Amino acid sequence: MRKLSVSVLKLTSCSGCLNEVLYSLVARAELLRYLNISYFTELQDSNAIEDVDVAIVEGSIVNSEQEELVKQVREKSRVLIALGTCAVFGGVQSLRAGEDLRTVVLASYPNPDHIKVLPEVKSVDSVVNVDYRFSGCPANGEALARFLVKLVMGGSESPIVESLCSECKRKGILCVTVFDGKPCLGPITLSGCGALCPSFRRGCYGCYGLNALIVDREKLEEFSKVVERLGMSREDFMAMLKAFSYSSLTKSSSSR
Amino acid sequence: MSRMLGEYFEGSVLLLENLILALKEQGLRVLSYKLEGDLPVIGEVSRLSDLLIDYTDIQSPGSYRLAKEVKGVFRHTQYSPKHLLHYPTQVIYEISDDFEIIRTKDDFPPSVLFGIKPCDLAAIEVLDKVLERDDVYQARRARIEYIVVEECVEPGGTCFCGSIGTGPAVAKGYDIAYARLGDQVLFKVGSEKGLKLVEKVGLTPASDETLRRYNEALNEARRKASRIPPFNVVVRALEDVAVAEGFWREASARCVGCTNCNMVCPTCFCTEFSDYADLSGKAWRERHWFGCLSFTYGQVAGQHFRPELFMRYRHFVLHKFLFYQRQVGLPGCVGCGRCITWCPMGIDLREVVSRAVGYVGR
Repeated sequence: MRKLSVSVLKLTSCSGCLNEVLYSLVARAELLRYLNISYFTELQDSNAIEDVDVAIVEGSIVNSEQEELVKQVREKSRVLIALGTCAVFGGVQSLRAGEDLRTVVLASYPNPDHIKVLPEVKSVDSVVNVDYRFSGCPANGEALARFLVKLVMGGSESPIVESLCSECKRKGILCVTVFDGKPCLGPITLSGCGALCPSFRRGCYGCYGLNALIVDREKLEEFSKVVERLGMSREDFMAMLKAFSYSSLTKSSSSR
Repeated sequence: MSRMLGEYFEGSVLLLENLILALKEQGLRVLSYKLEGDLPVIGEVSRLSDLLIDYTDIQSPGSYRLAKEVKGVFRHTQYSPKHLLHYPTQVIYEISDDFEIIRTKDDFPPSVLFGIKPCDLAAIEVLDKVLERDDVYQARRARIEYIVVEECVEPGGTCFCGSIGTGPAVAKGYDIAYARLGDQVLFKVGSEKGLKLVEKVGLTPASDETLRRYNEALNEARRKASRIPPFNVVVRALEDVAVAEGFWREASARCVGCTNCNMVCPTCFCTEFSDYADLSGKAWRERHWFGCLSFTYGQVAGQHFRPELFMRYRHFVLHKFLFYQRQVGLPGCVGCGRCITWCPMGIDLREVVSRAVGYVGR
C-alpha cells in the first residue's frame, strides 16, 4: 500500500460534509497514516492546489471562479469524488434558481456588491467528469472512509444504484407510508443514509437525491400524486426535489 | 385410542397456548407474527397473547392497517419467514491477513415457525429449492424443528392464494396445521413429530359438525382468494405477452423501481455482495438482499442486460410466474399479496397478470 495524496475542495455549501470527512478521518488514525493531505483548509494551511491522487469536491458551483477552480482540480487529480448533495445535485442553494437574483441576494446581504453569483446553480459533474459520487445532506462520511480504505489498498468500488426503500426494508423498518400513511420520498430517493428518517418513523425528504436513472418526469408526476394524497402539498414536494435533486430535474431524462 | 396422521382434532383456542408451552419446554424458540410496540413483526413469542390473535390486518394496494378486534383474523405483515431464514444483511465470511477464509458462525437456535400461513409455507418450499446449495440458508433451515401453520379462514384484502393453489389450506410440509373457527380450533397433523405434540396438548378428535364448519370456511376462503384467473391460464397468457413491449411498458408505467415488492416478497432471494476491508489486513464480505427493480440489477461490466425499468419489471413478473417453474418446478408467486400491499404506488399485480389474459398486442 502506498500513501495517497488528497485534496479536499469546498465550493458553495454549509460545510457540513467537510465535518463528516473530518469526523470519519479522525476516527481512523490508521487511514490517516496512508493519506497525505495536500489541500484541506480545515486541516492545514496550504493554499496551493497541487497534483493529487484523489480530489474530494464538496459544494456546488455558483460562479465562474468556482467553475475554473473545479476544472483545474480535475486536471490535477487522478480520481475526483463529488461529495454531498450540493456537489452531486446542486443542493439547497438551488432553491434560488429561477428567482430574481437581486431579490435573493438583497434578502440576505445589505451590501450585495461583494456577492458574485450566477443565476444558475451547477453540480460538479455538470462541469467536469466525476469518478465517484457520494450524495447526502450531509454525505455519509463512513461510506467515504470505507471507500478511501479501498483506494489506499489499490482497489475500487462499483456503485450500487437503488432506492432508499431497499435499504429501509433490509433494516427491517416497517414502511411509514404503507403502515402509517405518512408521505415519504424513499421510493424515488437514492439509498446510502441507512434509512435514517424512517428509522425514527418519519418520512424521507429526499436529501440523498433523486434516483434519476429510473424516475423520469412521468414517474415523478405519478409519485407526486401519491404523496399529495398522503398530505404533502405539491409545493413542499417540489421544494424538496429542487433542494436536493436540482441538477437531475434540469437534465432531460429519457424514459427508464 | 391410537391417533393417526391425517386425523383431525379440535380444541379451544386456548389450547394454542399449551402448544406454544409444549414447544418451549423442548427448549425451542417459538417464532411467530407478533406485536412489537404497535408494529406487527415476526419474532420470538412466549405465550398466546403475544400472537396477533385479537387483531385484524386490513390490507389494500399501498395500505396496511392493524385493527384491534376480538377474534380478529390476522394474515401477515411486511415480514415473512424469509426474514428469519435468509437474512437481509449478513457478513458471510471474513478473510484474515494470511488469506484464510473464515465462515461467519451462525448462532441460530433450534426454533419453531408458529402460526405462519399456507402462502408462507409455500414460499419456504420455494426457498428450500432455490437456496438448496446455500449453506447459510440450509444451516438455519435445519434448525427449524417444527412448522405450525395457521390456515386462512378469511383471506386478506390483497391475497390470491386460491388462484395459485398455495392456500388457504395446506397439504404437506407442516407438522401441525390449525384453523380458527371462532373460539374453536381445528387441528390437522402432518407429521409423526406433530402427532406426538398433539397428544401432549390434550386435543379431542374433531366432531363432524366442526369438520363441516371447517370445510365450509376453507371452501369459502378459497373462493374469495381466487382473485385472478387460474395459475395455468395466467402462465399461458404471460407466455403470450412475454415479448410484447407495449404490455410491459404499460404495466410498469407507474412503477418507480423502489424494490419494495422484491424486499417483501417471501420468495425473492436475490442478493448482492459488498466487500469491505480495514487497513489491518482484515477483509469481509457482506451479503444483502438486492431487488431486480433496482437500476444496478442486470448491470455487468461495460453493459446492462435490462437498462430500462419496464424490462426489469417484466423480468420480475415473468420470473415469478414462468421462470421459477423451470428453475425449481414450483410457482415463484405464492399469492400472499405482500407486493401489492407494500407497494407505495399501490400497483396491483393481480390487475397486471389479469390484464395479460386476453391482451391483444398493439
